[in-house]
Amino acid sequence: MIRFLSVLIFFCLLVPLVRAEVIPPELLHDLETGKIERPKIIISGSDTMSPFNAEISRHLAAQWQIPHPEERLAGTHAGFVSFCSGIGAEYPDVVAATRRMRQTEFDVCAANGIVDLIEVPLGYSAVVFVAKRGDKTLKLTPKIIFQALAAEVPQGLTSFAQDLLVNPYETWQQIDKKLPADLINVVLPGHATGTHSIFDDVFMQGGCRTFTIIKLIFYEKERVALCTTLRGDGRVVEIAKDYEEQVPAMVIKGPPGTVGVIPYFYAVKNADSLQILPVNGIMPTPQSIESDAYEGVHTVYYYFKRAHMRNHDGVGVVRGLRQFIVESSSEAARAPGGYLEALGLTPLPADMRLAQRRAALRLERFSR
Amino acid sequence: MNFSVNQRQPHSFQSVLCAIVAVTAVTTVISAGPVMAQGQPALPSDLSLVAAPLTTLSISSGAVNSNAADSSDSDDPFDDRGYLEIMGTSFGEIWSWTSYTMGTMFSAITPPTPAAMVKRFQDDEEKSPFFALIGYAGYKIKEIENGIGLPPDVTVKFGRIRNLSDADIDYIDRELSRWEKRDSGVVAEAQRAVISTLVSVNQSDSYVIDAVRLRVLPLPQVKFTLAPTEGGMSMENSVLLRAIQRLDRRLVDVQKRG
Repeated sequence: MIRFLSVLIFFCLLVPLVRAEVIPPELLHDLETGKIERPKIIISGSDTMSPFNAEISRHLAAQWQIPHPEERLAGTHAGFVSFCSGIGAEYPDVVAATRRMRQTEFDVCAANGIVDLIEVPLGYSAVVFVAKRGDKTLKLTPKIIFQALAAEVPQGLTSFAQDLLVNPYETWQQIDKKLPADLINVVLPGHATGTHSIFDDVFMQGGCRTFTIIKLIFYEKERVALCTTLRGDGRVVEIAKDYEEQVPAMVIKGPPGTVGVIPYFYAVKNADSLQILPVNGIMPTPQSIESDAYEGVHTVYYYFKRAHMRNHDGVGVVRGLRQFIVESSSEAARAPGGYLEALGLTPLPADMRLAQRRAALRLERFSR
Repeated sequence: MNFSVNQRQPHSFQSVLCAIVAVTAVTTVISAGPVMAQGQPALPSDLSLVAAPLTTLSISSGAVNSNAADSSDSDDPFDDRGYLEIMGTSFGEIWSWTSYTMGTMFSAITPPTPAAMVKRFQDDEEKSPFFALIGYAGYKIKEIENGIGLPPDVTVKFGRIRNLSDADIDYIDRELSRWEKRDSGVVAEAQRAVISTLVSVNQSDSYVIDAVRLRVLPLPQVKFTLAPTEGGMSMENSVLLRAIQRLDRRLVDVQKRG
């Protein structure tokens, strides 16, 4: 008992020391004088953005006394929802998004008084399909992907005489005769991840909207639910945590015909054991990603709340937001050969980068 | 699909055609006038004077050559046809030329038939980025107005058939930028502006574009019909809703009794 109490007392004494070590004295002073409301930047958004957040933070910490941001990564939409909920210490300062802010999200922000937003596009990324090296190459299209994975698929001889039935497809060949007769097995990140969100938007809804019976459904909620509900017969496996490690591992262990869905960066990282599959006949490469020819391309962004920045007197919600904007829009980060490219991000064209850098440094207000 | 074809087309065509035929017939009578006044049997050469310019015209149009060749047979001295008979033949030639020439002119100024238009638009939906994207933007062709006249008039009316999801909007934005990379021409730019307008207006809370009227001929024009997002229910819909509610109540009653 005495030993336990002594350990407890030791930890209680250690906590202020650790705090003093993590939080730089200047920040501590600002906190104590009430100039700032919280020591760390809060980033909400997609967990796909986690490596970029970490790398930018590392570079920031090397130049400034800014602690590593607190991440609340529950998906891009959830990130926008919490970001746009209000202004104050309890709300995030930054959204790390795998797509652009939508009009509806922007309207919610504006309704809650958040009108000064700064947008910084980081670069292009892509969601890709992978199979085990040595397996037959599946030539996929969004339509095939939707037919392989959806819970209900249109069936019928003509487009006007179709009905939605429980997915009957067991092998890839049943969908398209040119595909191998291997069983359909797909491993993909869980629903809350940014990768899954892009997968739903681009491939499931993209394949779904080619069917007349779906196009005739007026309400988008009904349509989206039909398009994105995955089959529950075990042919599709969702990985909620550590999908960047789990998905490649399951694809490698799985039988022929097993396909994984991961960000391009992780596919390149596992290139020795995985083959990347073409979609619509186009392979995801830095060139096809930059030219937007590959279907699963998306631009990744940061959105900053100007109301949380410090003013000329140094008063604001948090320190370091301006530095974060400067660093994330810098050529060292975004240009070809920059540290974000090493993490699998394809750089934006030079003229676009320059224009966006100028806009970001001027803290130009984002509008839709 | 509902086609509203303008009913004034045959009317205007007939009146124009009758007027031209009447003028031509009067010209023929005037040309033949002195012969009739003399009370002499008609001379084939006199008629050939009238027929000659027609022959020239018909050759240029390339259709009534055989008729024109027949008219030159009237030089035959053994031709014992009466004056009225020859007048009739001549009138037939004139009619033939007039109808052909007018037909050619008419086909030049008239737009394609509704059936041809529908086929063309269906093909365009697959090939043209504009028609494909207006489809993805939630609109479908509801009517084609096909007016014949000078100038002809073709208007396509699109009706709204679905709401867009966020992914649909992203897809359209992306396709628009891809299209811009491929084609930066003025027409394509105007077409892209139409699609962008549809998408951006429909994202507002208060109004949606209910219909788009796209005039193709004589001059391109686009008209948007805006409607409140939450408009009152139409009489038909209200009747249907009440009928469904009645049926629902009856089913509940039946269940209770059962």
